Amino acid sequence: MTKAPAVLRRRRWGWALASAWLLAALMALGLFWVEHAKSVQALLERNLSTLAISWQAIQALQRNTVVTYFEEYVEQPRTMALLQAAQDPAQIDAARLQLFRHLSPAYARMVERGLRQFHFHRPNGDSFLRFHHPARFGDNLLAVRASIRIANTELEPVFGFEVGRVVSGYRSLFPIIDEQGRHLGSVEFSLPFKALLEELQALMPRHAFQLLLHQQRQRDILFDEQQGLYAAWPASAAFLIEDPHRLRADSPPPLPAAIEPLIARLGERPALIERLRQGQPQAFRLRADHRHHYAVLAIPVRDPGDAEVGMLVAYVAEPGLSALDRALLVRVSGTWLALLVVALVLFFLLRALDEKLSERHRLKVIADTLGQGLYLTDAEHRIVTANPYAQDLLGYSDRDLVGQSPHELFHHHENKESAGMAVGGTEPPCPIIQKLRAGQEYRKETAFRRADGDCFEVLVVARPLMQNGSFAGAVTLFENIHERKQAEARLQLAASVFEHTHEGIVITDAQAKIIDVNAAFTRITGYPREDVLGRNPHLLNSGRHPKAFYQQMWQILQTQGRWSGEIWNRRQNGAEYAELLTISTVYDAAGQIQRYIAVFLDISAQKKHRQAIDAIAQTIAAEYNVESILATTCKHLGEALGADRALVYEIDFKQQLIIGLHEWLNPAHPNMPSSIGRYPLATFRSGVTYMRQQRTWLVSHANAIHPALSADGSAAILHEQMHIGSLFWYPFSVREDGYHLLVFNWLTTQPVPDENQLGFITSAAGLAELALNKIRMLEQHQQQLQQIAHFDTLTGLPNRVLLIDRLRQAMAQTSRRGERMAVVYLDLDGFKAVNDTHGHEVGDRLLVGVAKRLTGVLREGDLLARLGGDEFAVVFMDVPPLEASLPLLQQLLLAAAEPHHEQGLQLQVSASLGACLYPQTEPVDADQLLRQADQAMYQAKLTGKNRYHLFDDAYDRQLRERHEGRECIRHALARQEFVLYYQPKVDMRDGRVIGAEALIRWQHPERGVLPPGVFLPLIANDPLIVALGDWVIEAALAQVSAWRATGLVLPVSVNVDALQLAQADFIAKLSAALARYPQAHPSDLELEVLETSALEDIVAVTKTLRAVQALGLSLALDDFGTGYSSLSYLKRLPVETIKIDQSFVRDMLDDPDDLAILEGIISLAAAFRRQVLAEGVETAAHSKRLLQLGCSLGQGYAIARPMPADDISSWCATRRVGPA
Amino acid sequence: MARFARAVTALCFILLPSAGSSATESTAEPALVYAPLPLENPSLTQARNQPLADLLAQLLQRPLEMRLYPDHAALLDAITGGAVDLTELGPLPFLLARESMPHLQALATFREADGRTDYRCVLVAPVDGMRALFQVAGHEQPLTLALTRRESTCGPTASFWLLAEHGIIPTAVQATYQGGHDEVALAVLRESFMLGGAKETLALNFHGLGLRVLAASEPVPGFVLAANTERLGVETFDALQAALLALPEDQLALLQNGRHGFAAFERRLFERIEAMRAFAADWLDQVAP
Repeated sequence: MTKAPAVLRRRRWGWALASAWLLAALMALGLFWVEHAKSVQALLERNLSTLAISWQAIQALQRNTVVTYFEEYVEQPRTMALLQAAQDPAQIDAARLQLFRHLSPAYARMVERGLRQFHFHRPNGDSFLRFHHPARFGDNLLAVRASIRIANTELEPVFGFEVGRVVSGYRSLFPIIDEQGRHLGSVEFSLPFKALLEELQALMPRHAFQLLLHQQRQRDILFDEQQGLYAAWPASAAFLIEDPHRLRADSPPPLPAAIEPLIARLGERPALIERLRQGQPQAFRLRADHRHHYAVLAIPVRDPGDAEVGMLVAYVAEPGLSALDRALLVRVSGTWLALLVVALVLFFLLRALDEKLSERHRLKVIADTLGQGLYLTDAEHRIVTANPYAQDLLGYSDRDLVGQSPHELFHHHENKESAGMAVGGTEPPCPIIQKLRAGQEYRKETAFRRADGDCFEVLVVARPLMQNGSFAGAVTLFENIHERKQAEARLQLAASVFEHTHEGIVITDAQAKIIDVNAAFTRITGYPREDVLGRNPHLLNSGRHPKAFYQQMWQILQTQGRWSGEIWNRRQNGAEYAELLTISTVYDAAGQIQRYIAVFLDISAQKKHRQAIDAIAQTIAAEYNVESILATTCKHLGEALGADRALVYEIDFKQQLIIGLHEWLNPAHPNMPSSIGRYPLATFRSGVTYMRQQRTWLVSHANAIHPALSADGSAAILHEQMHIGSLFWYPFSVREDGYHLLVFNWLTTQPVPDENQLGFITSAAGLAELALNKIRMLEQHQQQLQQIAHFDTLTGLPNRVLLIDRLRQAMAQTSRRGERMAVVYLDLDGFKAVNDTHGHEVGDRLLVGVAKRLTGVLREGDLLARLGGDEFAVVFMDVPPLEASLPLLQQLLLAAAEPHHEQGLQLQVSASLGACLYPQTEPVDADQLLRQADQAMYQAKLTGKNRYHLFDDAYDRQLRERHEGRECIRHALARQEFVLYYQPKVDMRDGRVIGAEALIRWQHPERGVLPPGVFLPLIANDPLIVALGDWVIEAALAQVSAWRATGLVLPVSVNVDALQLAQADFIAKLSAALARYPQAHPSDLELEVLETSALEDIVAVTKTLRAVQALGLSLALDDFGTGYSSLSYLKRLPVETIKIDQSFVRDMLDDPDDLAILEGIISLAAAFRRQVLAEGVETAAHSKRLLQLGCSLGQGYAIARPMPADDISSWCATRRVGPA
Repeated sequence: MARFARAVTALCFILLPSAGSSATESTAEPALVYAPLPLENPSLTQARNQPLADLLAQLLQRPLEMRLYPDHAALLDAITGGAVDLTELGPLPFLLARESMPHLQALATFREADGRTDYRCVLVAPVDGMRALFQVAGHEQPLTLALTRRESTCGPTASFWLLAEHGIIPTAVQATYQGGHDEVALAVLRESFMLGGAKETLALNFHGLGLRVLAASEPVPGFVLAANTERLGVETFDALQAALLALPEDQLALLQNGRHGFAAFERRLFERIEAMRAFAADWLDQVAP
């Protein structure tokens, strides 16, 4: 049972009033809340200002302290001198160490006063020395430390809190400028947050402080080993706190315990965390428990580059916040009571107002939802209202329509238009109004005009509204029937297309019974329409396709709604035909199959042609025989066209002939004579010319002769003598000098070929043309390949391939005849300069000219070849003995040196010749002969160019021996035939062994133990020396490890070749070798570098040697005195020991010059704080004299000869320690 | 992983009877004591070792208390007094403790960052100072030497041994303890001493600043995790040892101390330490505190 409308209305108004009261209460609450929030914010802002001012004040205080440090410790002579020295790359390491020593006491004092970091930087921003982390330096800080960048670019002091790679701190940076105004870098003093905190605490004793650092920024900068010093802030991982476990003494004390729940609550408020992350000063309240309200204050901490590094957060219990909350409660509750009284009064006043509104609303909804146009008119036929549908149809708004006469505005009655067009005619009365005034209903189709002038057809139903028996107005409904009318017109058009289309159309019902067919269907199949109606299309079935074919067709139709494909059907007369068929399924609105529509096109002829084209294409694709291609083309074309004869002629304008190439004769006419032959072009000139000029086909019939054939009388030959009823000529592969002609003859008269046939012939002829072109191009290509393979394209001379072939033939011929021949290798001098100066085109023409002149020197039977670039070879056959052959070489030199004129330039080059003779004492082949001549030519180049050189057999042997020697060493290395001998090095003062030098020996299986002098020269500057050097290092490390295992600690030095040292992977291989022998310590190995090797590339060598030292190895400079012995080089080379070459030591006792050199080297070593070791200590006298000169370390036969590793242990054990 | 699972199962099996006999007994069982190696900062010691202590408690299924001692001497006293059940010790302190507490057995050796279970001690000098030890060998001239601390393996024990290996008799050596390895390196660089003795990996950090290695010892064994077998029981000891040696990567990743893994204890490496110690014993008293 529904409730009474009055009750419902009252309830509704009650809700409305309650909502209004609630809104007002909320607004009041909002106002008071805003005011309260302002008060709270003001309180917080006061706290925040105090914090910001205090923070600024203590930073200023710290700055003053640090300035005194700078003046006291940095701006003083010793510090400045060391920093000046550090500008020199050669002195930087020493300067760093000295500065560390010099300022360590000062740093200790500053730490006692609260300083955390003391850091020098180079002008480029590299860390120079961290007193707080002395092991780390050299890293560039410009990208991570804005303060360092500013101090070293703007050269002004910089102050600010900043994070760093080790820890954060309040930084004070000073650029360092010496008295000459040179920028030496910068220095940084950093105070820990604790130092600042203590000052803050003094100013704001009630507050607790915490420094939050931005997590990502801090993590990115830190050294890896420092990452553990930082932990995520418990409230958010976006911030880090430094040293929460207080691992460092200078870290601030922990926060009071009361603050921890506060931070936990902060973690539950993502919005507050987000405010902190924005980096602006923030102040907000937070409740730790139900009694205590805290103010949380945060100000951003920025580095000198104005980048934000984190937030300084202060926590303080604020009682003023509780007082403000109480005041808010009192004001809000009072206001709400007053509002409640007002709301009750309003409820009773307003609840009656809703009834009228609901009635009006109902009527409007009906009109608005009506699916037809509707308008109401008054007694004066003026529109009172119109529904939205009517407005939409007519294109007028409600405002446009109201008050207007519909007849004047949009009625479009036929008689109204015709009357309007009549001159002076009066407008007839509106038929609708007439009916209505008569109190009758009007129902009729008519037209209305839209606001934009377009007319549309409507069905109008209008009824009068009678009030007290008199006409008070009318209701008019109208329906747009325009689209329905257009649909009817479209149906008529479709029927017309159906009947007149070229394609056959069959329409069936859902059970495949034929409903309708068009005229084209009857034309193609032969079945009249009335014979097929009601029957199944199966009546057309040719029987060619299996049952499965039709089953699949129906399945596709059922599932996809459409089938398309080629199908063979049968006409009423029994003939089969191919058709291209498309069947479409038509569905009704419910998705059920309503009918099928089949559209088909007869494609029998196209299919036949396509098969013929496929057959032709298939045959000629793999065919390279012209005859076969033409036979295939003629046969298939002739058969497909039903011709009696098909021929291909070649029209040859050069020979003025028509040449029969191939003919196909229809087997149905076995007695038909052949037309193959060679005919003069004049016989058919007119027809041939016609096709050449027009580039088109020609058709002629006995009863309709083509004009081009009648002009020269050839028609009489063709039609009368040969009895040809119809002929069809088609030209293809048309060229300047002729073309091919396809000819088809019929004995009876035939219709002109239609478009299909012509397209078929064109395609077949095109295929044949392609095949003929392919064969022609292949033949040309083979000829070109032959030319390229054996001849130089530029000069046309034989190339190297052909030369070698001819040379072999010439050698065989020379041997057979017992003659002598000469091979000359010729290389132009100065050709590159011509190429570089005048370009390659000029150079190429010069080469052609030279080739031409050299050809002039040749005799009959001689051969000139171009080997490439500016190199030629000449083979002189049957030459006299060598001396008598020299004029031939001289002629070649003269020919090559002849001036060459090119674009107004006179170019001149010369030639270097190398020659050898054949036969020789030892058997040689053609390649060797050419190589000998090349080698001789190289000698000619070396001895001054523009000359000849005859091949030297002895020199060639020497080269081969060297090569063979290298191969022997390579095999010896693989077979492990090398061993290391060790020569002890001792302190000659007491005879103590300080190490041994590893010296390589070759245990040759046949020649015994060979010293290095025998085999090392063979591989000088050869990559093999690197492999051998690697082996030496590996063997020495293995030996040191073995000795260590027996308790013998004996450092070993090995010699390193310059080539080995220059290898990019030298350090990597050395590290890997050390890793393979963990028992050996790097200090067990010393590398000896020849003085001359070290000086080859002092910069690169110094870099490599420093890397060697970084691995922990020692370095010695070997054979010192044999090189430049430059002071500056010696200073730069990072070696610990200098080994004096034994040549000075050996003769020192007799030769005053050597003695003087020796003294000089020893003094030099002392000056540069290097150890010095004398090699070649052969006698006790040498030893004694060296000790007198101040050289205590020695090595030589007087001490011990090099010995196998096994002997070293016993030698050391039995050695009596005492002066050597 | 399978080995670790087997070891943990074995541990549970061994520990179950005591846990299952009586709930009251189980809860009343006194906590084991783990004493880590004392570092300068107790907080740091605590932080470095807490994950390892948690792991040991988990493996043993017994409460484990971590007890911190101010220095090596106090730790050794506690061990010999039987107050410690599990501890981390350097090779030399381990030898010292073993002499008074025979039940102290090595569970495993801590691996170094490079995976090794041994390391070297070196003698270092500034790059512009002494260039080679043979320069002073055989000469009784005053030589100042910075050392870490008395109980440190790379302290007097290895340093005096290395000097002797290079023909230097420590008679005239004036040695002083500096505390940590970094302090030794920095003192040598400041030229407060001619030589210093330190662990090789730590000394090499200062190569760039000018510190040079003059001599290196044979490898000495790494730090040891040791346990009192009397308190732990041999079966529990063996099972714990197996579990530690088979710790999977994900467990190791949770540790700080011990995060490079554990290796089986090798007794033979300690023979070298014993020889060094025997040699250095005569000279310990001449080191200034």
